Amino acid sequence: MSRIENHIILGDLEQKKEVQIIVDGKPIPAVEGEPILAALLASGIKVANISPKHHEPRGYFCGIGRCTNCVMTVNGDPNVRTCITPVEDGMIVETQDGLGKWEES
Amino acid sequence: MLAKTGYLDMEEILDIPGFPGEEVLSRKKCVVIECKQNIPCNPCEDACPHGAIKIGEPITNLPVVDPEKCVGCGLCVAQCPGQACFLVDQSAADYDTVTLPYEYYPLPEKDQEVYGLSRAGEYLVKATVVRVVMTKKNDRTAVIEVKVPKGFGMKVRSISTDGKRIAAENPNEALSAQDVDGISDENMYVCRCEEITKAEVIQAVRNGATSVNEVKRLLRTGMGLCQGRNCAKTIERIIAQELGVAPSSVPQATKRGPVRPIKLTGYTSLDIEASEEMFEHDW
Amino acid sequence: MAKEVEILVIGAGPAGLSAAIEAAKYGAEVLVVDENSKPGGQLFKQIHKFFGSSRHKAGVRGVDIGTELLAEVQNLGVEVMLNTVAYGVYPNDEGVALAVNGEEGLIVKPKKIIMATGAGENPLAFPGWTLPGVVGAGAIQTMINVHRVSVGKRVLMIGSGNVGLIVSYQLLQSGTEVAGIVEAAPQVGGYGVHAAKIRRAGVPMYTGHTVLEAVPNEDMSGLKGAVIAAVDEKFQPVKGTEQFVECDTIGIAVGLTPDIGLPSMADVTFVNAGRLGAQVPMHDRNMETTRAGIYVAGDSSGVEEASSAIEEGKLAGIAAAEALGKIDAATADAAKANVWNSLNQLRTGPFGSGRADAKEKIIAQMEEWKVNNNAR
Repeated sequence: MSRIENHIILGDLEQKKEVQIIVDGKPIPAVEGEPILAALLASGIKVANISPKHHEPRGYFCGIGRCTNCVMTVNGDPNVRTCITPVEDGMIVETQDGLGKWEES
Repeated sequence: MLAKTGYLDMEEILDIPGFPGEEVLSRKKCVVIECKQNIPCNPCEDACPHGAIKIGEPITNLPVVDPEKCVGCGLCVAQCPGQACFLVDQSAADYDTVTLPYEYYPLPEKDQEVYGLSRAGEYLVKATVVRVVMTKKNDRTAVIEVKVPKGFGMKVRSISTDGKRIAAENPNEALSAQDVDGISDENMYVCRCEEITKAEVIQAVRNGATSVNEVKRLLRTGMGLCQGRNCAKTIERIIAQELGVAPSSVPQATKRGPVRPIKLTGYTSLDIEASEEMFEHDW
Repeated sequence: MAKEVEILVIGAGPAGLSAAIEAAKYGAEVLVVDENSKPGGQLFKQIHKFFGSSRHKAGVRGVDIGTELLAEVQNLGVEVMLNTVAYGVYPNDEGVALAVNGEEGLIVKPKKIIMATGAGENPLAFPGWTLPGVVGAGAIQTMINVHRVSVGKRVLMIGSGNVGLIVSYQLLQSGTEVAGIVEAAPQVGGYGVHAAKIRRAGVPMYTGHTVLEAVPNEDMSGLKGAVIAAVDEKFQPVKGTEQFVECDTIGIAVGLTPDIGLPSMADVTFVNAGRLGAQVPMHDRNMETTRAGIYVAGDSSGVEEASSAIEEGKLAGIAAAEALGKIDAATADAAKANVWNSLNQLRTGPFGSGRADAKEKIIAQMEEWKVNNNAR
């Protein structure tokens, strides 16, 4: 999976500021302002969470914040919809196990 | 047949007013409009500076081509939102030309040899690019003219520059009875969040549930994160099927706020006094 | 403190923006709220040229229509609050509750509300549909056209309505392979011209077929393909016709359902709109619902196309401005007649006339309701 660099209708991909997010401990590149999900897909990551009962991998489904299938734990907060949450440099994103847990504070 | 296959066969084309006829094409370049569904649309009429395309009122009329007025400029080819306008020229003795709309990268260059494809995307014949028009007015729809061997003017409707987007002969693997044995939708999830299966929903209906709300109270369907957005419709259908009624007659789940997932602070930071009516329910 | 405004428009898609433009043009004070970080609704995913005639901006790409509408909204000085979810409507004059940035609550007390909340994609359940890689067609469109990232290498599309056809075409434009389109009905659902574009690009059309299951890859982190089969006239799979289609993504495009969460909370009366998508708020020719001062427009009042949503938005905007006394009845009637004329053009032909009939039925029921309830 990758970014769509050239497009006859949309033109060449605009050069925007690159940031980095940490997904399950590994840094991946992201583009400022894009949702977390877009950065994940650009790096070929499709699994967002593991289902609570039967422990099956799940990924995004609606892409517009309605279905909650793409939720991950972000900076310690569980159930963050990655399809509508913009990336921030240094953001810690983790594959969520089940319903997720709040980080002890 | 368009309705079944998604493209027009020759018999259908001969029958539409957008086809100017073989006689015309054998003596000049002319537009062929492969449009037969009476959709409300008329940019081709506006695009033609020579009045060669007539739709009139209502705008669902099929475009009618006046071949004597058509000068083969190709403005309609870029303008048609359905990409159904082509120019065909069968007047030369040893080749035909086809002008078609094209919206893929990379664009071919003049004199480049490309694959000429049928309406079904099958590779027919090699084609040579005569011109590539990409003006501002065309708004990112390239108009490409290709030269094809004699007899292919009414057959080639698409091109491929790189071997992509060509129909495969046998795209899929046929499966044996053994391969598909055991595929059943009984255990598929209906409610994604709570991981409730179709079999469980059916059982709930057999136990007496007749509405989405009742199934929800028995099984927790729709009580997960998505709040029923993904499962309500499927559950309605299962109930309808089990009870032998129309899905529209199955009572829908009650809709309550918040209608989107929000943080509880969305409520707690509100500057209002709770009133009795705010807690009224209709169950 | 509640925020007071003359007209609150919920949803900044084609219907909401058009409503805001019309109402603001006549001098109404309008606030538009939208849950997304960018306005335009689904218009910015629509990179194809629209149908219709010049008055419907035919031949212009949806994304460019979106840009035009936004510019107009800005020129008119309409306030637009983004990242703002209208999460509840309280009928007893408590107003509309908003969550700004998803957390900070705010009550708006508008004199009129125009609900242009759009529609959501219908799910289709089949074994394996919960696997990563099985996604809505709208999600694909968002990823490839708005965020410019690939969703996979080879996509199988379920559903041959215009959404399925258009998204398949846009996948090809993004450089993604399309493994085919699966349609349970014996014929293509959407416009033939959309189907023809992707057929001549080599995409197989499986009319009269259904998907039996999505097949996971080894660790269930994605797909390796799908099993499809022909169906009989009762839509039951026919044994012996099963095929394995290789794909890493399945797109679901099996129709839309009006988003009626807010109208429900506002306690408006609903009707079954048939082909326009299940339950929709009953409304009159002004797009006003059974609750005076609450209007609907666009897909939330019956699923059609962006072009019709724009026209319906205009109707609601004009009617709301009229109800506020911003324009006299004669001016309003002339403006509305003009819009209706435009709408009627879009609702003709074999695809449009069914929608026209369904709309007329909704309006007829509303008129009956008015008589029975001595309303307006």
